[in-house]
Amino acid sequence: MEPMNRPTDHRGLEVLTSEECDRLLREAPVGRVAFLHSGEPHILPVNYRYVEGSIVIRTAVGSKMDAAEMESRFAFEIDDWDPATRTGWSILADGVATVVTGEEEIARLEESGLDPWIEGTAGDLWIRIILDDVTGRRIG
Amino acid sequence: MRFEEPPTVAQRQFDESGMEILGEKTCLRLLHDQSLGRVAFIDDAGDPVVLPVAYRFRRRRVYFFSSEGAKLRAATRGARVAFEVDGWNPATGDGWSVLVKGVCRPVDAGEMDPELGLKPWLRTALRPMKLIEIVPEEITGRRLPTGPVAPEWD
Repeated sequence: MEPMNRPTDHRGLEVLTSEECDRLLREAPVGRVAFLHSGEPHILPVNYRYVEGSIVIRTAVGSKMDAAEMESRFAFEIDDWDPATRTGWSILADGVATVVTGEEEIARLEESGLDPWIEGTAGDLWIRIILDDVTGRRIG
Repeated sequence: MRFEEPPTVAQRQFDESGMEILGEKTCLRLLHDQSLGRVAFIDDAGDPVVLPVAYRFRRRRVYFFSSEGAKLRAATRGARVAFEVDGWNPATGDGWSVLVKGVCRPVDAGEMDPELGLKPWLRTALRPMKLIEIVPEEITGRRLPTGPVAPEWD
């Protein structure tokens, strides 16, 4: 068991350290990204990589994310929850999303091993969310 | 999960990105079976926010507890929200998600169905937890085409 003196927030939730957040962001298989689409909130599950403090996502040209307003704020979330023990954790992050256009940068991101979920989807886009706020909490 | 009416291979439908389109019955079943979802809304600054919530889906409504100021303000405004549940199994290549879009509002304690079986997530919460419901206007589901074909998908 962890010691009881770990910091908690105003709701009594244990606050994860930035090292724990970094590790979980590197390890989680799936995240969810929230953004504005036609003025309404939208949320999508994504496979992603955590590279140099950014969330990197591949999406198809013409997708909902492609239609999202770029250079605007995106929210990103990962979590894990065990209903049997009622324990889990979550990380919330946000930052400004941009489409990666530089060929060198795309070549570098391709080395991150991030494959599109569906092979052969034409014209994929690389989207980077440069995170400027990351918070993690543990429950239970 | 189980299909009420498992689609045959021939009945499977796919969207333009190659994802399988889940039928409404499957979406409702998945919403009913899960207990952790994520709600996305627009905050006072106009930016998107996403939060994990413990929820129940009953009578085509999503219910969750909140102590969050931002969530409650959105609910009080009758704001449009997006709600998502998903499941992933890297071993089988299976993955699915269900998206609910709708409007949320606070529910009075007297209106709460005692059989909802929903408890506030935070047993140590210092603030009172309010019950929120989402009234869906649209429920859609997608599934990776790489997973096992129903009825083996379980």
